[in-house]
Amino acid sequence: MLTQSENSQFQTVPSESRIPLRVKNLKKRFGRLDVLKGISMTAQSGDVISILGSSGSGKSTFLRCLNLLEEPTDGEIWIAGRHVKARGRLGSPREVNALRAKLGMVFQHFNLWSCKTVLENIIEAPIHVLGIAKQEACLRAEELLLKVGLADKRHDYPAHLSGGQQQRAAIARALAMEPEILLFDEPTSALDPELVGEVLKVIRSLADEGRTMLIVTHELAFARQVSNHVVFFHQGQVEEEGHPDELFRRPTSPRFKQFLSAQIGEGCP
Amino acid sequence: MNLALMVDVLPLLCEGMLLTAQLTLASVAIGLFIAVPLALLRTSPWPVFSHAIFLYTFLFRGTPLLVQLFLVYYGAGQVEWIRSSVAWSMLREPFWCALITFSLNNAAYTTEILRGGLRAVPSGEVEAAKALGMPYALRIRRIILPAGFRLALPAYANEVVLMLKASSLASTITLMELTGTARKIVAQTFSPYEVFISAALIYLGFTFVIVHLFGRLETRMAKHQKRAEPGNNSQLRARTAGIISASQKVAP
Repeated sequence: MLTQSENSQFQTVPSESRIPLRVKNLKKRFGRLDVLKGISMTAQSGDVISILGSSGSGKSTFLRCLNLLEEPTDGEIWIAGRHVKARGRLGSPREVNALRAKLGMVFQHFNLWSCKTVLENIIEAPIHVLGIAKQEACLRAEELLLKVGLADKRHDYPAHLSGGQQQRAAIARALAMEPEILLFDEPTSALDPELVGEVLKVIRSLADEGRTMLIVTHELAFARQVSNHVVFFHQGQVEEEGHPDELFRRPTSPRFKQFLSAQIGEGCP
Repeated sequence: MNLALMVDVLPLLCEGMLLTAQLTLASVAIGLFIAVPLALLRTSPWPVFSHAIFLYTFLFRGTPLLVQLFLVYYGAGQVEWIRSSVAWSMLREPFWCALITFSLNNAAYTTEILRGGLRAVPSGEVEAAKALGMPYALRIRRIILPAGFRLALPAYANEVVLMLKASSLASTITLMELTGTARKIVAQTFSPYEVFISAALIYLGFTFVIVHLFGRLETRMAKHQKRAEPGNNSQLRARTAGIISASQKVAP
């Protein structure tokens, strides 16, 4: 695990193609607003990286830049060893879609297709993007539904599910593409407090499987338990990072200290 | 009021109704066929298309259908190159003039109705499709169009009903559709009251059918919004009971 801040010159990159994710000096500007001011990050296989930060610090934008839902202003991205974003140039639409298929994104507001059942939501992309036969896609979807504990909801529409169930369905949908990396964009922020646990449980089981994941979250206790690396964003930059035990016990940056005490003040452990 | 006369004229009026139905259904079908690509281009990020299509819908929605009909029927014949072209064989027929005008007019309204539906598709659902690597055409076909059409359906049903009634304007360019036939019978019988009431009843019946069909389509398409039926669910639950208990072992 290594995550480098903007100016570090030496990038140790052993066997490039095995690294699921490498980001170098990623910048994003909205008009005059610098949202990301040069983020570099590397995720090795099996890494679970939690990204913390107060709102407006660029956490979500960073995730959205990784699968090019936002076009980065500058910087470079490698996914599974493939160079997808060269300096100032985006790949062709075909390349962009191929990249996105490798990244599983879980959204804050689930974003399930409301006119499709849970099962249809899950098999849609495998059938039409990966070209898997419907029967096989259904079989795999059933396995995923078991994994997220929604086997009895396969024929329900998203509107009939609770928020926690919807988010678990959305996780199953992302998993169905067998992505190299899972990106979680505040997966529990839109949920009622009593539903948070069931979603975190699923995410934790995925971490235990050794999946590579990036999690933007406000659940500090969860981040501490599940991740092997924590990154704290502040105003579009990596303010502090390290192993969670180290970081939470002995935060060095005053802003991270402030962030932690504010969160704990709100009743989070 | 002469009830016998009202019944007597019904078969004659029904003949006119056939032409009305033809004109309405054909122009609605052609209109929809034109409107789908136009609505997609209208909501596309390319301003050249969206501006050009806006001009088209503005012209057709901003002028009376009757004027458009006269322009095509009387106006086209005054232009030399149209008269000498192949299109003239169609444009000198009142039926084709009416069909072309109605189709273009209906397409303009339908374009704007569909545009509203497409724009109301939740952006999160489109983003989810993007994030899963679905290419543009696939997103349109599988996610955006089905959802957009659902949202546009009530307004579209209204537009079809309006088209049915607007087709009565075809009587002004000699077409003997329902209204034209009614006027002819009135001229022969001098009983406008009975004949027009009969005609109105036929329009009402046709409208009822359209509204009913769209209503059924709407309920079918809105099943994702209905509450799940408990009976249905318990059946499902029974069927999947074994799997659920297994799932609890796998993912507690």
